[in-house]
Amino acid sequence: MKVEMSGFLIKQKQALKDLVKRLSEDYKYVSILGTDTSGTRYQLSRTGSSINESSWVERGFVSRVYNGKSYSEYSFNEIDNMGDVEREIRQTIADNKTLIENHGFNSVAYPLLEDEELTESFLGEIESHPEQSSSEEIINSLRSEMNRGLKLADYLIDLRMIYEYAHVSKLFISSGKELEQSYVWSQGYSYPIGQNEKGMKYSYRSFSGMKGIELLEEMKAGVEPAVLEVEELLNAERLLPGEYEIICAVASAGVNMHDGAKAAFEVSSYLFDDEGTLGTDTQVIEKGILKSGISDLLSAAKLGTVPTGNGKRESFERKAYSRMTNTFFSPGKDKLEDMIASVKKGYLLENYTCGMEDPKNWGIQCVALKGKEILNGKLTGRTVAPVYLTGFVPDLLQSISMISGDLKLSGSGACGKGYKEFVKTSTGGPYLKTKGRLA
Amino acid sequence: MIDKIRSILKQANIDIWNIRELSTSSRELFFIRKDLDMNRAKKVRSYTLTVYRDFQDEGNSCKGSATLKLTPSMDESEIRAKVEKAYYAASFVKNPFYPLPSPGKTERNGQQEKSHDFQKSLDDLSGLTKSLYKNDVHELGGINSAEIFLSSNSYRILNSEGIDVSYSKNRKDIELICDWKEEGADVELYNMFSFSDNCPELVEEECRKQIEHCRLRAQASPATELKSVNVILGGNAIIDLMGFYLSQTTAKNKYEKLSSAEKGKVFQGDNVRGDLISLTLDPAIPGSSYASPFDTDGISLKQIPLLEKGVVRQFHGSLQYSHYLNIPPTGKIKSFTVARGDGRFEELKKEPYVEILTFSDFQMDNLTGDFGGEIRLALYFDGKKVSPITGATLSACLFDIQDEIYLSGDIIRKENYQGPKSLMFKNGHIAGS
Repeated sequence: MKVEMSGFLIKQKQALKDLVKRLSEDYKYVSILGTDTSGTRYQLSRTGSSINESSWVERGFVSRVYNGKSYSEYSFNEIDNMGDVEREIRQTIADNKTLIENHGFNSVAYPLLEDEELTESFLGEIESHPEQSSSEEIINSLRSEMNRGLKLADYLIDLRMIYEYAHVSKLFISSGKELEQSYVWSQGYSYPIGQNEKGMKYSYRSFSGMKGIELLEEMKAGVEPAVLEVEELLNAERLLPGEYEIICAVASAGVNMHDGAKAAFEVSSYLFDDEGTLGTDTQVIEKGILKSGISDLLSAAKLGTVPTGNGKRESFERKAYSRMTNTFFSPGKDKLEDMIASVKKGYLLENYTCGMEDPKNWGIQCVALKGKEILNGKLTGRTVAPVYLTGFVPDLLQSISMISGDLKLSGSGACGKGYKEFVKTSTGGPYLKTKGRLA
Repeated sequence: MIDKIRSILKQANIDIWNIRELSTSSRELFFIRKDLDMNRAKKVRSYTLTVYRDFQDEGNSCKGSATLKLTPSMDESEIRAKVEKAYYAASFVKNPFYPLPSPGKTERNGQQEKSHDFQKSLDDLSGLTKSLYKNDVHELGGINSAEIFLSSNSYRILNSEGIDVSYSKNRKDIELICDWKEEGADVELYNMFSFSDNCPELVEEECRKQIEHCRLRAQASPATELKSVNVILGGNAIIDLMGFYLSQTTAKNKYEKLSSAEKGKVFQGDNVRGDLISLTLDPAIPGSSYASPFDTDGISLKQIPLLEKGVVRQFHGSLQYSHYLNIPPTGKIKSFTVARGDGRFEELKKEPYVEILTFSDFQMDNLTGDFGGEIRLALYFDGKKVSPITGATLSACLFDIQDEIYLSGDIIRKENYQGPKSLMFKNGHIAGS
């Protein structure tokens, strides 16, 4: 079924166009992004449950105006009086002038953004819309899986089941552009927690995609592996820190790398970004050579490059930055069993919980729930947990000696800029054999 | 808007509810080097509504709930549809019964901080910017980029039982990336901090310290493996580590059997050789952006001792989970203080140690106790001299080390924390290059 565009945004379109027109009489570039995202998060545990609106829910607007040297933005969500909104937008532009003229600030100089004529729209497609399903149906599905999972092992303290969806609608208006898009993404987790005499451990399996409640069916496949993995983790040992040969499951490193809203069909696939630039497929690395970076509209304008459609905002309340979308490494031709057979002493790392890069200094940190020991080409059955993979990205990339043929993306997480500006992304890739420092 | 929501609730026969109103105005500046890259402003208002329904399920008294966010642009019919849908959904949330808080004898409203005068806010922003850049005076390094957020937040919390409280709070956030470039090295470090009062000294010091750390990182040597070394953690890492004790003593974690804490017992074990932790929830740490007179249920907050010399005195949290444990509700308090150490930390600093100043991303798992991360900058004292090192990794488990941790006598106030500047644990293992 086709996803429907927000009726609220459609209703506001003419008023926004009028506002852009009025401001355009005085300013050479004016744009407004309108967002309307609805969604719900259903969570069930042994001791209770909750149904709350998704943290991705938002409804509001952000204007961007060329102030003569750079750009000023104003975020708002009260539209009863568009005259007040217009005054606030003009005040924000005046603030910039005051800071420069009265407070001695220097301003970065940006070129005037080109505003080509473009009218496009995109409506996503899903099998079954969560907004047309009852809460009872969703909760019962989660409860059924929770009850089934809890019976699988007596070491379980809890088994949390989570399903969340977001119905995203965005409208972008400028003098030249009129863009609309609406789509639905869903994500789900099974999250068992277990305990033995050594302590507590948890595992998870996550599912995501541009999908509706059909994801609930997919989630059923994750319960048993996650529960069994808890037992493995409860009996795991701590790793002896050092440098090892490693095989990373769906990690972010490789030799052919892509990013883009159109590079894959996952939770960060869209027609246009939060600055009205159409999404693309950027080949970041080709055969080991850096080919292109990703950019938002302003950084591309400053650098004189073509924007790649990566200007994303956490919400209408926040600034746009160059951000990841669907980022992955292209598959190779090796088989996982051959990769394991080639390792003399190392680990197969699985189930990452977080990652952080050190952009300027090429550092990287990933935390995996577990590492499965490989000795003389065979999995020994011994597991270490947790595992901190760290290192120097060029070294990690240069050490890649084998790449498996499969490709799997996961969009169940989010990416922050430092510890804020969280945006929805998907990442993934094939298994990679490389060398890394583990602790 | 609140009257509109209340009217819709009444028409829908929903008689148990909680509404939280938040109005935010902000001015934001973004810098590249010393130049203004963008200015932004924000004026937004939102309403978070929780609807409850009490019912019986298989002989058990239940309270269901569902939460939704409303914005001023929603008309009556849209709000009504969302409220009715949420109320229906609440019938499938089968949590054991708990009451909602009622008005107490405390003052009706919290402190009404004078909101930023946005006519004058440019002066405040300008002053803040000057403080930030005051120590950016070096030829080889300085501020690469900075973001300054100045916001005024007004809160109102009301519920169906008669609670109706409000307060306002100012907040300042700074994100700072500094760098340093000299022969053979070109490095940067990230930092973000927040505060609520005017404290130019804090801003100046954070920037000075970060540029100094960049200089040290540029001169740092790749770390080699260090086994069985004393490890010192400070900054955000000590806040996260102490936050573990906060997490372990929540009523929610106790109720869900995710905590091993026992009231009246020492959490750190039977044979503690290091400092015993004394930790107090404090909703009013001066200057903290996390300070708050009420929680989201409208419960009036006050200081609560959680750990006294290692002994668990109380569990804390929302009325819901406190009711389940049959303990008085403390409310959800985000900020806390920790008592300083007894002096052994300073004595132990005479021995070799690794003092980690910056992680790439310090990770603390509040369930398993595992913590660690990549070390961007540390100081290694080999017993004779102190040298900067970089590129190593730390991994440990708090359950394994908590019987021998030592807290510094120096106190810091940062984010939601006031307590020892650093802690030390023994026999750390640093994975080097």
